[in-house]
Amino acid sequence: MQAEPELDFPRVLRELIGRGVRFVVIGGQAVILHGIPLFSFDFDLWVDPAAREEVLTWLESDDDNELTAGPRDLAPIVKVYVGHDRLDLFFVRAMTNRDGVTLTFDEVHGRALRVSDPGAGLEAVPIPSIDDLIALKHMAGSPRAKDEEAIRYLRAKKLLEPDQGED
Amino acid sequence: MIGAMAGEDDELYAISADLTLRAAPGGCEPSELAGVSRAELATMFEQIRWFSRLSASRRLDVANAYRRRVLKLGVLADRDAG
Repeated sequence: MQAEPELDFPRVLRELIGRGVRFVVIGGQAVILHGIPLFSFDFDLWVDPAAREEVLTWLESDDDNELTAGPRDLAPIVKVYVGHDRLDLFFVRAMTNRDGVTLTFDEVHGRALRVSDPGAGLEAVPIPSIDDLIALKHMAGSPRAKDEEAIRYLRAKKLLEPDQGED
Repeated sequence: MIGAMAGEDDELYAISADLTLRAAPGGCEPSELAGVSRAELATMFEQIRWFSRLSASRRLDVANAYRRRVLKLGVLADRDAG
């Protein structure tokens, strides 16, 4: 029996970094990379819209990946299914949360912390600052338990390391 | 606005011509740290200190292993229910 394909998230990060694509890990995986011990079903990347065609062409070239939009489509959110796993790619210039706070990609990318793990080939993986990640956690139309839990931990981390504890 | 689409967990986002994604307004502010006791906060600090000692790839591995375990339990539960 053939094994179910799985998303190799670190490989995606290595590939994007290797290609020089500007992106930021957002959502639950960013919380995890901040050192918060919560698990997440979500894999979310905010990607520079200018890199859309290159990124989707690369992802489409892997037969294990099923994309909801092709490189030349204009959908700003593209989902990539790999077996039971799903990677959401946000090709947008800005996000405005339910508080009316607008974060642009350039701002969030510019303020991002860079997490490295040379042993695993991960160099300078960009994750939002704690404040930006909290603002992004307010993107849901109304508060959700999992986001509130993540925000509590992010605020606790900020108390623990006021400088936001870059790795 | 040029349209709306399903995002994470099938929420609706609105997208404008300048490629800005907007959350649908509504809901109240999350409680965040309000109501967290000193003991709970100490436990959270301890958990963060422990998890932060792991390398970045190890953090992803640990969380992913747990996620796969939960997914597998879900598949088994669905099979049992079916």
